[in-house]
Amino acid sequence: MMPRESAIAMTCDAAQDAIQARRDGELPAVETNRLDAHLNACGECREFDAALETVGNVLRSLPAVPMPGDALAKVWERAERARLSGPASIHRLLSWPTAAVAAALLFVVLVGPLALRPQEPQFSDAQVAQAASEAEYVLALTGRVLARVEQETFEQVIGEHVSPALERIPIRLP
Amino acid sequence: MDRSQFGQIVQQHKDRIHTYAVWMLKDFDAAGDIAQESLARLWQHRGEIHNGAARTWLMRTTHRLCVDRLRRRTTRAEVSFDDLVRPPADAESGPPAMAERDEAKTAVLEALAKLSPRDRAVVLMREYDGMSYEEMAATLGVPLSALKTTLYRARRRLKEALNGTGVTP
Repeated sequence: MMPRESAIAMTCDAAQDAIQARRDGELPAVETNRLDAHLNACGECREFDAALETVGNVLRSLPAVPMPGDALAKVWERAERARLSGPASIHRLLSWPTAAVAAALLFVVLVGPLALRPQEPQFSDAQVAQAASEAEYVLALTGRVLARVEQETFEQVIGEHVSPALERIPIRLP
Repeated sequence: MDRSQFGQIVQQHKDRIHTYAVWMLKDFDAAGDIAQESLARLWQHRGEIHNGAARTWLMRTTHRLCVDRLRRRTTRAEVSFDDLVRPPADAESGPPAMAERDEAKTAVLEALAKLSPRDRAVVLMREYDGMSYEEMAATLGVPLSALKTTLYRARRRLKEALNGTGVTP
């Protein structure tokens, strides 16, 4: 161990930081000579440098561990389950405004022309209630249609894009 | 992020986060579960994450789930690092240099397993994954200076643990 302050003006602590910085490509060029001078004089820091070399070589040679193929299908299952059950799901929150806008547009298209015709009689309370009921039905139906389209798209992605690719992924354990 | 883009991101990163989780947890089942959860969460939060940020977001989520799993783990379902890196049977009678490499590998992995989850994480991110300091800091949600301190300290501890294995570099 070198003294904490030596003639070459680099302590072992500073040298071991500099060793790591150099291995990471982060050591300023001006520090290189000071570090090399320290290493020439300090066996402990040379050993530290060599140990990091071994560690780096070992860890960089570790094999990748591919994600099992069936796991990806479970990703979709899990995402869908969260979408359906999550009370605060953003996805779910976004779906209903969309459905509401679609229903409102349908309502305007269907009911609007009737309302604009001056010769039409005034609607009774029962008719208004029925129209409101029908609008609610359209709203619910639109929501279901959107959910169905989403589900079909979901299945299409799984069936046509993700799964075949997964089948080509070699599953091997190291 | 639409479904097609999500599919591409999954293909690019699924093995990376799964491997990270395996090396963090030494548990195939837990690693697979966490990789799935990370990807599912990415899909759930796709409206908040632009595609360029998905890599860091996925790694951060995977890391946090791993740390959380390690904290909650009561029974250890770990597999041996040897099982993860065991060479093929026909390589076991290879030349002495190969045996030395295997010895060094075992020693490094044993030392790695002795580190705290945070120390293990930074070492893996830097040495195995090759992440930059900036990417690691973003992944861990810490300032760059704190990241350097953590990484440098983790390597020193790894070196100390390596000394305990009796293997010299």
